[in-house]
Amino acid sequence: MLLRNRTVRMLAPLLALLMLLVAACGGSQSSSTTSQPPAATTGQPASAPEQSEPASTPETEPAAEAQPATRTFTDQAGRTVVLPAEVNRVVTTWRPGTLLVISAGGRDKIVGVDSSSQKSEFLTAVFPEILDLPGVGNKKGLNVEQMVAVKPDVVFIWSGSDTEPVIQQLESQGIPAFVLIPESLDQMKEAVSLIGEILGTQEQARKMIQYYDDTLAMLEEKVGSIPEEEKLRVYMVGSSGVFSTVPGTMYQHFIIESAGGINVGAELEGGFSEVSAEQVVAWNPDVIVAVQYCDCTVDEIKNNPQLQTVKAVQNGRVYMFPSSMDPWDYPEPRSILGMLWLAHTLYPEQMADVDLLKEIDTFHETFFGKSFTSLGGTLDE
Amino acid sequence: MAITVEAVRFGYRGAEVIRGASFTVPQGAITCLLGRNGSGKTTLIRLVNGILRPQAGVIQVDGHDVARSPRAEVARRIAFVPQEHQGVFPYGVEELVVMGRNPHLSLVSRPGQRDYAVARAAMEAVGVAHLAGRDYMAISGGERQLVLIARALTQETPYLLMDEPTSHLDFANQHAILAMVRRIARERGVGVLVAMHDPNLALAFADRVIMLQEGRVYREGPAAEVMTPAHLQALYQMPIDVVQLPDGRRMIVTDER
Amino acid sequence: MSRGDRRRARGWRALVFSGLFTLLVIVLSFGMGRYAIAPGEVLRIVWQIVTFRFDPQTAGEAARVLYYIRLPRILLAALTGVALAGAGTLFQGMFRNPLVSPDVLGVSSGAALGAAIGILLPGGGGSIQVWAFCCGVAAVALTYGIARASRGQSVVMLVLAGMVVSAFFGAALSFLKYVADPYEQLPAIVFWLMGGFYRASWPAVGSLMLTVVPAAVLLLLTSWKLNILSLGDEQALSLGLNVQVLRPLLIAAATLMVAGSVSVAGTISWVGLVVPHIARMLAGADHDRSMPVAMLFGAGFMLLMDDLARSLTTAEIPVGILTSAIGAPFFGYLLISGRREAWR
Repeated sequence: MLLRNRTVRMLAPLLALLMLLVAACGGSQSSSTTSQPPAATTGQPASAPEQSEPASTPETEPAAEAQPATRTFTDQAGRTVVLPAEVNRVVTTWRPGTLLVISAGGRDKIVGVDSSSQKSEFLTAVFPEILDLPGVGNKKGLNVEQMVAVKPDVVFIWSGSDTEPVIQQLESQGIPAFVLIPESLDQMKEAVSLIGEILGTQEQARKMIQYYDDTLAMLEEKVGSIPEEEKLRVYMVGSSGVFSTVPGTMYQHFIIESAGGINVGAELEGGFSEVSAEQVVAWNPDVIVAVQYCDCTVDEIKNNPQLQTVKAVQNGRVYMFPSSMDPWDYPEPRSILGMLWLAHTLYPEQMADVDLLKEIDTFHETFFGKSFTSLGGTLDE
Repeated sequence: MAITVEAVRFGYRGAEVIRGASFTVPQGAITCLLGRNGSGKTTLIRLVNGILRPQAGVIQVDGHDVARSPRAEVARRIAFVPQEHQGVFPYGVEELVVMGRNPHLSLVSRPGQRDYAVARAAMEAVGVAHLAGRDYMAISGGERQLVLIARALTQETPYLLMDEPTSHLDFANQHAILAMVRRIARERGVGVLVAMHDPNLALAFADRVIMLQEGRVYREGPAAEVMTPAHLQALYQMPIDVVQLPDGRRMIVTDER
Repeated sequence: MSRGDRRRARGWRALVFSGLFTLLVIVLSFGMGRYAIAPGEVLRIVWQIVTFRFDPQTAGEAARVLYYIRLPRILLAALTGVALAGAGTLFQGMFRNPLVSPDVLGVSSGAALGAAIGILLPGGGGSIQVWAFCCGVAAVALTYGIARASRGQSVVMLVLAGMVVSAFFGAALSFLKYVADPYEQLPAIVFWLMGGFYRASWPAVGSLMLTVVPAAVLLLLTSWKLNILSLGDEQALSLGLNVQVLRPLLIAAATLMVAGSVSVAGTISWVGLVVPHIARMLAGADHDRSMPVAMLFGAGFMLLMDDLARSLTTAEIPVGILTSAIGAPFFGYLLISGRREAWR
């Protein structure tokens, strides 16, 4: 009787098709609830044999409080978070977070990871198992159900306006969310320390923090002590191309200063700032360093007609900031190597006794398990 | 019991269109509004309908000031029949006709059994009942005009307003429509005010005539008194003769050949 | 059965069809998601929830997933579908133009700007929703004010004023995008604008119900009057409709609905434009029928789009992309197949 309507006759098959599509795609996504590689998925939803929920008896307590002992932490957003005494199952939701957890020794405890980490050349090289872990989404959208399915003890998440609903949903499932804000060096050290505490990998975490402190002290001694007038003035090319640079508020500014350089853009504010060619010429930097993602090449900069009068260009001191595997100027664990490299590039004499490549390889082996060169990484573009 | 218009003035942005018009529209008769383009016929219809408010003077329906009454109340007294036109949405004929019941329904109600019965009766009276399920836009121009009249009848009002209902219609339909309107006026005692462009139709169908010239009432009264060659010439500013056939039928002709 | 009765019977059939469709989609949606739950289990839990025997304290993990994660999302998508389709039907009828969308008076442009402001301010989470809602409503108020202040045909002035306001708010939004930090804020704005239901939570559903339900009820109650309104001001007034009161009232209701859903789910296009057409094709031009059908079908359609959004790939596709990508060709197909009943 419904079929008498011609529109219904046209609509119904189309809608049925769409619904079948939904059912097919929705069904084939069920993943197991353990951290092992999921069993081959079929078209049926919920065919995973490890389904831990018996059909009739409800659990008496939510997972987070099943342990007799709990610990209370304050995360980097100031929230009070209650975690079990032993944390063995961790979900990370964004790449810097994943990097932090791995370098702080928590690699084996990760049971769910963000999809951008799974696409990272570096991470898949040092941690091939990452591809077998369930993906929980990325900054554009997190899948809370997937997180719940892997039964984590804690979920590490970034700080932002878009995380509120996710945190609430996790809490409704009895899963604690822990916010990390690794935006400055101090914050990063704090994050690493907290992760060490939480995961029980204090040893490794302390090693990293120690490495940082030692390296910074060494840099201070070798290049920090150079008198101001003799320090080299550095123009760092930013993400929008040759005529964008790093203001004093960015992490990259800190890198330049730690490496004994003077950031010509120090007085600017905000994110990567656009500047005019004239401004660059007026600054007349001694060295030009470009970030990996600047969409430019060293040769382009050297041959740019507007910059021919600039000292850096005339002396050929134009470089690409490392590395070939991920940029080291971001606020993440490997940025310390970026500082080393920059100091080495600016002041080869003072840094002569530092074997740069060896330092880099050792760092990678210690904290990521494989040396930089063995991964095929290079410092040039 | 009539529509009375007293000393009404109205203008748009300083240009006065109606300059003091007064007349009466009694029940049970057809009153024709005649005049040249721009004489103010449509504006006057809108004023009587309450769509426009007079800037001076008063318009009353059975003693109630149109400009001050709530819309629904006015609509229970006066029904407006627009020129047939193409709408935007393909309503069915019956759906359109039953919309005439709106003044009798509250804000949140919709037509019920009785309303549909009134609508159907109106369609029967007008002779379009067989078109009830058809698409309004798929019928002919003449049929559409009849449907709009049926809708006005569904409002069950003592007065009917029409604005040049025949200008889009062919010769046969013009007469059919007006004959229908005359029947309605006679059988239901409805008072009709219809703005016309063709004085011959007025001659054939009107009981009373109002001649409108530059926003003023030039002449008003029973058709026989008003529709004289002298008045028509003054109104249309052209030589006019009224010709009478042996059987009494009359026709207006002009001198142009 | 008279011809007229046949038309009304068609309206009922359309209602039944839409109802069945939406019900099917709801059932389908309950079973979908990354957390595996056996179908039997799903039905058992849903039954528990529907009969009010669900207790969050004692519920198992699967039940909590259904209750706190899936159910809010389903409700959010359905309510948004109702709001967009209902507002679209209203505006198409009111403005006598089958090509207008719920955004004709600028509510989406306003809400988008509000969301951008909320994202740029150090305020955080809840304030984005409030900002979006308030700016959306403010935009329509501005449109209405401009239209009133100017002389001329009401409906045309409203549409023109809406264009002006939309353009202005759009420019302001572009400016904010320009000054936003390109690493955190700009992507946040862009993704927010693409629309998505993954932010669903019970508080969001609650706030959406507050705006959508009363407005939808009003629209449904007055849906027959919309027929009269769609004849144009002159005829509507002549038929005794108090246009000066009803029109702003309906605009306010529709604006609340749309601002409410945009502030929670981002801007989602095409649903408000296409579903009213489908509803008219199914149920006929009488708004008394097409309005409830539009709302019902809109709920199911939006939910179906959201199901696709979260199941097609491992990452979430913003639902606004899908509604355009699917909605537009879908509509084109319906048009080409020659059903001229959408409009003349």
